[in-house]
Amino acid sequence: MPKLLIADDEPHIRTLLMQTLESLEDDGVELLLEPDGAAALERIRRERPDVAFLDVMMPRMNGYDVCAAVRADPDLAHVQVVLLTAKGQEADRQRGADVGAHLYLTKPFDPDALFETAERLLGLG
Amino acid sequence: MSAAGNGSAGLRRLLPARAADELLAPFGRLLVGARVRLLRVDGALHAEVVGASWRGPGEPRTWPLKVEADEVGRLAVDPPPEAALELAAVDALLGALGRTLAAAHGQRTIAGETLERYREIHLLYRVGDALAGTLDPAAVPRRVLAEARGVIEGDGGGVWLADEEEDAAFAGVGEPEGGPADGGEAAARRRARLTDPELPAIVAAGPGAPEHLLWAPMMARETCLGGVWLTRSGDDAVFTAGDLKLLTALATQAAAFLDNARLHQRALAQERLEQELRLAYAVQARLLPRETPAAANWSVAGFWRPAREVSGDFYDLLPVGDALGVVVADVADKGMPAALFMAVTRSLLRAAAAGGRSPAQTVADANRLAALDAADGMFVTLWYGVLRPDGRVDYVNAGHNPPIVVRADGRVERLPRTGILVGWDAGAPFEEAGVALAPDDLLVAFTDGVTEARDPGGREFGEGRLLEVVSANRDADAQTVLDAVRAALDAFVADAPAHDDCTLVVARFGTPPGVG
Repeated sequence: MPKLLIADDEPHIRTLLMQTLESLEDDGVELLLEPDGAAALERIRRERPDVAFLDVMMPRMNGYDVCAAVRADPDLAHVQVVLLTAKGQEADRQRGADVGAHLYLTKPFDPDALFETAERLLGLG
Repeated sequence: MSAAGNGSAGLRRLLPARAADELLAPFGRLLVGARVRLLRVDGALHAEVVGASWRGPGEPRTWPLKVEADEVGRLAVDPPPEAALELAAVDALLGALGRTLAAAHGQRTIAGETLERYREIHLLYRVGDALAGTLDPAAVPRRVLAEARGVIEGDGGGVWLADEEEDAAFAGVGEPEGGPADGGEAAARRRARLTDPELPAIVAAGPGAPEHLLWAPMMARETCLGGVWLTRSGDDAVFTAGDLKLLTALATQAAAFLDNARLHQRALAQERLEQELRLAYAVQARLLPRETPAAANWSVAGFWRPAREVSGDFYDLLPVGDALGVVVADVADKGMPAALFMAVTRSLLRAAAAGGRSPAQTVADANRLAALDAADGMFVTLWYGVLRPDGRVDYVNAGHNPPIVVRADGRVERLPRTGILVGWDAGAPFEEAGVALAPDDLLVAFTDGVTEARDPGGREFGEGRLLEVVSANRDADAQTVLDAVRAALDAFVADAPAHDDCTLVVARFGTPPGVG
């Protein structure tokens, strides 16, 4: 069963992401929600999701560090990381690429593009 | 406690499994002899709690779980409660479920609205990005329709564009082709004014019309440039206010791009036109005399200035035996039509004058041919004189303002009309008149653009000022007199806009001053 993790410290953003992606559950995708970076990394290590959408600015551990930790772990090589942030500058995007993120999406996100990205990374649709 | 698999989205989305388990748990302790279940609308199990002394499946009693009148699932308790305490517990559970589901529904509604705004922002960004480099108005409708259909579900749709000339609707693009809302032949048949408030109904009219239609006008600078519509069929396919807002935002943005693209095209067309006019001016200027043919005992100078790029005025100098033919003419119009008629008239006069024919014969022949070619209201006034070596001038004045002869002693004579204007009546007669100039007499022929030139205050230059300048310079050669008139005219008009073309020819009989 494919799994997709969503990590964001802002509850309303989690709600928006969840509501955008919830119809993936109809395709048998399990959606996992976490409120901060450290919890997200722990859940990724435990559940080994196929895709992780990580907010960049999170307490305890930011999205860049979570992504770097995932990339440093050979057991998690299959996890595709999408960084999601309000930071839109090229330097931030470059930093995302440097830590091994597959994609870097900015907020406010395009719901349709986000859904299509998730489908594509999960190999659906 | 467990969560069920797939089924209706209602309960699952409003009350996720973990939250459902947490909500039910205390009621397992209150209803120890019962099994309490949450069922989805399709009957599938969503969550349950089993009391410690439940004795196995029985006939349950169920209560609907509703959100805004829609049933999203059911509460099932088995065995049904009988004791007052158990009924009170079920009531409490229904209350808690109602509040939780209502809160979740509210939160989802707000989230849905927010996501719509997110979609709107990205739609506008995407459309803006796609159309930013579009300077082709024809590319706008298809792009707009594609984006509209990408974000708002529908069976079909189309874009109508206003006909710029007729303020009427005409076919833009429509999907599906041939469908009721197709912008093809159906739209062309039902030409309607875009400002017509009934337009959406007109679009939707006809056999097989869609049940639901969403219409947004494309407004730019308070003008309706067209509109976008989407269609749906089916009872539950009603468009929402959010759909309308989104389509309106898209249509408004598209209108701005369309308006911009059209302005760009108009600017290009204007630039082409100006380029053509510059070329036309160059061609026309080459039709004017570049040098004065030798004429015994005469010095002649001429000047020509169009009010616009091209002119209906012209002058011509042509050898006629040992004499010099002088034409000053004014086509009764300005701009390109006048310029074309000027070129025709010039050629006709040149051809008619060949072989040393008299001014009357020349003008009569040219008139006959010009009248055949002249468009409605296209005619020309002209003065044609032949300057002979002995000082005699034989002329025809075809409806032209009278040229002036300024004698060496200062007396002034005018050379009156001897016929009507050229191009009006193919059979019109033209009489010939003559005047004899003595040495140092001046002949000044001009178009009314000279005497009717206006200063910034709107006053006319007038024949009086012309005579003053000519008289003050009557001892000078023809070119000097001409230059003086031109300078006085320029000073008078200053920066006022030119109203008419200006043409002036000065001829002086006799030995030029300072010679011999």
